[in-house]
Amino acid sequence: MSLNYLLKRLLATLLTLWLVSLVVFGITQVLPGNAAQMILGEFATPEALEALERRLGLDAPVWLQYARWAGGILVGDWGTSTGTSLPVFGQVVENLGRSMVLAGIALFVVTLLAVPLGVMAAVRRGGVVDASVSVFSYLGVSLPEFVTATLLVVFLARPEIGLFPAGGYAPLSAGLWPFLSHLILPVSALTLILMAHISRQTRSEMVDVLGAEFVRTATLKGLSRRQVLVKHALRNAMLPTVTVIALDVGYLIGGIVVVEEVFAFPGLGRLLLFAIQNRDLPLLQGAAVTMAGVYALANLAADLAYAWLDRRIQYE
Amino acid sequence: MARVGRILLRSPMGVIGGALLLLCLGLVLFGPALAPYDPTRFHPAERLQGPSGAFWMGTDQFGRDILSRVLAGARATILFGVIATALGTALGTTIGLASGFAGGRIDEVVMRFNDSLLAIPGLLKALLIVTVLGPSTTNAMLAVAIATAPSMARIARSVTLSVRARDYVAAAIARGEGAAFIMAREMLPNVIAPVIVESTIRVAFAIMTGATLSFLGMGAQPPASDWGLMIAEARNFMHRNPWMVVWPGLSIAMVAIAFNLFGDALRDALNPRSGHGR
Amino acid sequence: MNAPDSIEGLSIDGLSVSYRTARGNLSVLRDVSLAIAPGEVVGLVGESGSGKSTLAYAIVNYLAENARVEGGSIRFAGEPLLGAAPDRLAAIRGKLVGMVYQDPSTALNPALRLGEQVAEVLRRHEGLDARAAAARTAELLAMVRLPDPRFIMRRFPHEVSGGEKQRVLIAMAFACRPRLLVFDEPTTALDATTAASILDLIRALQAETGAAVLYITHDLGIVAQITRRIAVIYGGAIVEAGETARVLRAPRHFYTRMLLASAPNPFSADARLHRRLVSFHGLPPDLHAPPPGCIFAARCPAVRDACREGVRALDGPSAQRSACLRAEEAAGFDLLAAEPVRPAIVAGAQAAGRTEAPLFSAEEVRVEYVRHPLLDQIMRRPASRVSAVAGVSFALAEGETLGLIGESGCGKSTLARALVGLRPFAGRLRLGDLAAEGGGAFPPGWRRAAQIVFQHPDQSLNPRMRVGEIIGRPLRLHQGLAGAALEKAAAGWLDRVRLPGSYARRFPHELSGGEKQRVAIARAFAPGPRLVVADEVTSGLDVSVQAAILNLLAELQETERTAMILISHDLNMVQRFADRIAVMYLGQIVEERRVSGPLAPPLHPYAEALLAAAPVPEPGLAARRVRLDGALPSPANPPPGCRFTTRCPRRLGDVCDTPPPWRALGPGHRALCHIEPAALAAIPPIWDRADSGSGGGPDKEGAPP
Repeated sequence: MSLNYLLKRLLATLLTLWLVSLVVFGITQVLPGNAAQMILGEFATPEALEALERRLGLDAPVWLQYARWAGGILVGDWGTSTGTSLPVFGQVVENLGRSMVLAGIALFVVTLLAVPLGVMAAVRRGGVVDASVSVFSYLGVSLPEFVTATLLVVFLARPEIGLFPAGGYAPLSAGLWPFLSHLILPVSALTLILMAHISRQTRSEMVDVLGAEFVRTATLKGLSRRQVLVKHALRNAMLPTVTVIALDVGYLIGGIVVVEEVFAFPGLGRLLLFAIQNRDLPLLQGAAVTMAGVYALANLAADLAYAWLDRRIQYE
Repeated sequence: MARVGRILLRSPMGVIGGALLLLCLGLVLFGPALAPYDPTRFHPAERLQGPSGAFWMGTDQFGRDILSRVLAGARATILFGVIATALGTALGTTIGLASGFAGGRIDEVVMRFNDSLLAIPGLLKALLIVTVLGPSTTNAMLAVAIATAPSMARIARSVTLSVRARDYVAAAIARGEGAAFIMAREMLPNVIAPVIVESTIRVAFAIMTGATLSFLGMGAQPPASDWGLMIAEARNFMHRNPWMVVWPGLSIAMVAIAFNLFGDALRDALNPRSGHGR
Repeated sequence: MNAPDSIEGLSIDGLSVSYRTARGNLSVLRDVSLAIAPGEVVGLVGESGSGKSTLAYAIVNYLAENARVEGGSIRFAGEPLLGAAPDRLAAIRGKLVGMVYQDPSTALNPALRLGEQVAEVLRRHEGLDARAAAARTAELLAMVRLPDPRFIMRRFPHEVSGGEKQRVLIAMAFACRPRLLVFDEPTTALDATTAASILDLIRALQAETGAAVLYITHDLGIVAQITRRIAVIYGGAIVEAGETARVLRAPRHFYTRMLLASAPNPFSADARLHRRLVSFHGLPPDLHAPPPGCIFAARCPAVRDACREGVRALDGPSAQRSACLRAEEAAGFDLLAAEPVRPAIVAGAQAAGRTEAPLFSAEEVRVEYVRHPLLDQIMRRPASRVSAVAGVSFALAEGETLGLIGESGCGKSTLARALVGLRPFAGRLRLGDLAAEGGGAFPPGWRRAAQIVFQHPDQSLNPRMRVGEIIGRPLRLHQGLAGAALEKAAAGWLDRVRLPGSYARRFPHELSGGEKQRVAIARAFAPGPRLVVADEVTSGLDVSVQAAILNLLAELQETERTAMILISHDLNMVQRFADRIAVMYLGQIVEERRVSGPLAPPLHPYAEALLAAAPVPEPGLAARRVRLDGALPSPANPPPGCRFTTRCPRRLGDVCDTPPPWRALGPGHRALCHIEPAALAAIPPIWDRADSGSGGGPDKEGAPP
């Protein structure tokens, strides 16, 4: 991979992050009321408001407020939550860690299951696996996470069964089973829609590649079916799939907001909802920028992985 | 178009999707009229009932008839998806078309900004917008529309660019056609079709996102008969009456499947890929 | 038909294959028999849809999922190949039977290094370990004349040229010294000079290994060069088979005869007399319901009622068998009598005696592609500039045709687009009393006076407009027609391009490729242009369709007295249809001359190579071997001085690194070259009558210059 390409992608990602910060900051600017109002409540005297606004720098011009805020983001000073009075940065990092565990496991499980399923469906087109994958994936992409999650709670976390807790989180230090038992249902809820996406994508890429002429060449060289499939077809089918997995990080982030809410899982998504419900602007900004940042980095990682896998890119 | 219809009817996907879509249309037109009860009427004696002869889908925590509420919610939910997608498609297509037509520096700047909007996950975008606008069905619809626009803009632009590179556009330029004719008559009809197909699939996404917003309390507000809201309201009672979750959940899935199936079949019919594996 | 006695080679017997489609059974091959003895090269000639590729892939048992073998057998060395067990099949493929494909750019795996793609065959079939396989791969790549095998082995497909890719595929096919090779149009996707080198290589390797070869192509010129026997396939049936020289000299089937007559051949008897080719009428048969009797009956000019009855099988002595009822008459039949378009003007006479001032002139036209992405601008990096057309001048009289010839990347299409105002350029253009200066706006009348016909009618006709509107638009725009008058004029143009008036209501996708191109031609001529640029207008079409399109262009041009620029890569076609030829290489015109009959020296060295590379469907003609080494230099970084010098077989020395002068070689004949005119005139002729009458391929190779 050429340094030039790497540099280009990095620059583009930085540009994206900058624009995202503008968008997030802009959205919180047009919200009625400001942080001072939030802290002091509806019945604050104008004098007190003004004093606090000056202290918080809210009387400065907008661009200066943005510069201060963005500068703070860069050095780890993300402001103080108006809802919890705790530093935003610490809260975001702590919750992000837990969300990453959830998302990481989900992504891992999905990739492990969906890619082989998609390949099998493509290789035996019209077979049992293919039909199941196709029915299952339509169900998957058509069921929002909150429905799946709620149904899982209804049927698997019934108090009388007691198999899984209905929500919450236990750190690994509390023991392996408590840790896992709190994760199994949220992961399942997240997995369904992603499974559907990725298995469908793998299948369609694989079907395309199997029709490609170089696969014909490989077959007519007399290679074994396995060699043709694994060495020649799968390798090429995986390239676009990598991109789709990265795009699915976007869905995953949306899904996490919902799933964390349903399972009362103390992650970044729940933090965001808390911030929205409480009009906690610093916390909202911090959580939103983090989510967008994670997504941008996932896309960058996918692009780099793609470029590394497909060496043609370096010539663009 | 007749040809596309014939191809659609040949694929099982198209037939099932089309049938489900007709069912959806029926629900939009007649759903509320078919409801056996007033969807907001309390039956205090019949709270949290399972399905029965009187209440086919059971009742909720206030004793309201779930079937009536599901039927009443159908029109709102489906129209929500269609209108939000139409708005988002119109907005996105306008931006994408204009950017693609303009080309050069303008195109590069517009698309850079558009890509940054795309880099915010869809639900997060919708949530942020509703936060600004305030929770309500209309605002949720606007939020979903705005959240849809960047991806439609991307699609419209890429189609515009590929159409602009076609020789029939070159031929029009070479014979001296004006810019207005080239855009309106030579390019637009060729850009619209793929954009419409793409937007059909996005109706499912819009419905699901709208329901999710309602579920999170950011969309429809009580006492509306909204499927997402019904599930949210059911959460405190779901262990006593799981049907309160199951029926609206299935309804959302059915409508989403209808649009997903039909959209995919439409895309295949318009752009048949000739796969020939061994 | 009888199976051949030889048990050694390939024998296909009574093979019938059909595809199940939405519209029913498509009968792609019907009762096809073909035999190839060891060491023999047999050509299979057919157009698209003739079933020739299905036959090729049936040999290696690689048919589409919806294909069904209805009957017949394929045996190799006595062993049945159809229905062989998968394990046995895998052992045969690549080991006993090698294949080379049409498009080398898609036949190689983009994600694997070239060396590995060859080596895996050796490991699989020859049981070599990795090290031995690599060593053998290097030998094989050297055998296919790749200059630096170890370097090539480490490259990915996208890093080498099309010709190099095809060499790697040929190395792969020959890796295990197979006893049968199937070549499926291996040079069709390549430029003429590259294709000629690949053909040389195939011929040499075949002679060396003694393998049996089935060579599939649509090009009669190629079979004339490399095969001894051919079979002609049409509509899923073999209509004629026999010794190449006999079939080409005196065909015994009307399809073969028409195929020959529709391909421009500068050596044919009528080439000097007129600009018309024999064209096919109607469409190929619908193989969902193949007609009874002769498969070609519907399009045959000599058809009789008896032709439409019964099944016609190959008949006659084994040297030349035909399925035609009137086989004796095929060779001598006057095909032009059946042509609706009578030759009006005699070429040569047309070109001679033209003295009036030119109608169109281009002076020092330059076209540059500039790429300057935003990021590069921000980082203050210079824009990347590619000069696609680097100073081209020529002139054209009314009614005259200039053939612009060159290989891909020479800038001919870019030039075409500049002339009709689709590409910014530098330089001066003049058309009648209109003048256009590069960088400035075109004068208002230009867009009516200069029209273009594009290569792919699929892309040049708006899929959402009806044919009537497509043709009517320029009439409305430039002649102010509207309403009934417009409809009448559009209908008139449909008639002039020989399409029924009902086509006005149709959409382009309801037309065949040739019909679409007719619509595009009508659109170009409708506004009454004075110059028409035809950019590779027939290269996407089958041979049998090409002729009708070319005839139509010639006819319209003659009646409208339009000047025409005929852009093509096909030297035979240009020799037949153009009054003058300009040869382009890397953005420059290197030679310009009048045409009257087959081209002959004096020639620019590049034109010499082009001419030697053009296959001519004339048996017994031997071309002197002139081949180009190396690849086309990048137009972004052309050689200083003579642009051809890096590949020129006649390079003089350091002087060639300075810009060459124009050399006058005769009236209206000049070349951009450092070589003295006398030396260019002394170049020996390219074509030579080979003495042997029966030999298909010229075996002798001319002495290198």
